[in-house]
Amino acid sequence: MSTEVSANVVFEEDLRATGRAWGLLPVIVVVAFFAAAPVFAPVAAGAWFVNVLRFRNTKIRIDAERLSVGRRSVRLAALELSTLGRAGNTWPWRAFNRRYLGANPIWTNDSVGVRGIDEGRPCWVAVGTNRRDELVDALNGAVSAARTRAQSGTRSDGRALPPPAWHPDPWDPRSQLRWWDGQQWTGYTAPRRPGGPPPGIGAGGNR
Amino acid sequence: MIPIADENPVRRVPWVTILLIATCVVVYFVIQPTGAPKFRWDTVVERIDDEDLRFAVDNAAIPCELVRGRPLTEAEFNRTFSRGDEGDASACSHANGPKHAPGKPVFLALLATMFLHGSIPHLFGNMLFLWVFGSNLEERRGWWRYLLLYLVGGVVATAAHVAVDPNSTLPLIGASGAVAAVMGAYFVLYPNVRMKTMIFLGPVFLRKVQALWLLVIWVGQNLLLVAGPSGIAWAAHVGGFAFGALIGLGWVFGDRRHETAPSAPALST
Repeated sequence: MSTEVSANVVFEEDLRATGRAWGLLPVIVVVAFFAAAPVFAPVAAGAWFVNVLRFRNTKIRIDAERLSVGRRSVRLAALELSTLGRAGNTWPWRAFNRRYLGANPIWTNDSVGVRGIDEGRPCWVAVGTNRRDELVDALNGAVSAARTRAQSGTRSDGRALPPPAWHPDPWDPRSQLRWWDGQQWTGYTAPRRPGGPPPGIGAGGNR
Repeated sequence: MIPIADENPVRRVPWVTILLIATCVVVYFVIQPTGAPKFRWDTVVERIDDEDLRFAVDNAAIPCELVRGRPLTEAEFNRTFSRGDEGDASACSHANGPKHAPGKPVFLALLATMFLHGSIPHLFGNMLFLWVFGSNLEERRGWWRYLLLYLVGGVVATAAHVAVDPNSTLPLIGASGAVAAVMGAYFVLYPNVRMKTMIFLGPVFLRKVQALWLLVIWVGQNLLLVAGPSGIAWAAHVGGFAFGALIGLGWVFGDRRHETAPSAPALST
């Protein structure tokens, strides 16, 4: 577990199986052997190594603006602290949603779950952790600070945010526009027409 | 789905849980004839041989005995067991006659039966569930309430099995009814705790599953057994679970009433 944290990072945890986590492997093999059937013991051990590979590079990281889990991330200001609790089971298809930040290896002692609205759409965080108290403290502090900054219209580096306007959609800049409300990207989009007038939010925008 | 641990650590050593597990293990390996290593590598459930059968009939709870209040007669025993798998499992009759085990205390067998097991996987599975679910209950509710839940839950589970199949002349063995009662109470007290679970769907998946879903699926699996002659006492499992859940509800509401009770008025001078 890495404890080395750079200046801008307030929390970082490596989710790969290390040290005590390997103690669960013989437990899994013995349980599969006796409680299911002997033939399942090697299959269960295989499932363990699939998990080890799956989470070998997964990190939870909180910096001044974003919470990252593996390759996915979400704006801290989008998270709703009132939903902060433990990770729940989600629908399987949500794993393909880029706003679902899920990583809960079987060897972690505890978990953290939190929801929010990012760019007008729901986002979810469901992660395992061995340092829950630290993670919760870091989330509470970082989310509050990020929201305060968002409301005052400044970035974490102190520069002012751009005023509300239609901009090329950062996720699909060639074909559509997205409404920037002065603090964050919204769910309003419109097709991008060369030379055409920018749409009004109520008339031409799509949620 | 088999839970192997939960995200609900205990801070005290769960001595009663350890004692119950140790008792079942000692009874199986030291007292039961089955204790000799006869684990079959090709299947989960062993067939019991003559010596095991005699021990089970002499010591375990049998619905017919509990309903009639007397041990099985020789005629009932022979009709049930003399033809192996072809025997009549509901050979209970009103006819009296010489008893197969005349000195058997049939109602004391209600307690004895929850410390007997049929095979190593049977014992291991029950003790694993007891360890995972029981330790938290023991810590939260105290050892004597927990022990009472276990023992009374086991008796209620056996009663549920008897109610569903009162004419059965087959012995009922295993701690699963008592363990089901513990699971029922856990279901009410800790529905949102995540269990580290092995899921067998051909391939094996390792996931953390909320206790609520794990136990709902477990009860569902038992209700599926209603349809066929599986040899598993589904009614004891479901009855024990329902009893445990009721006790758990009682504990929850008792705690709430205690928490919301008004404080004593100040004494006037």
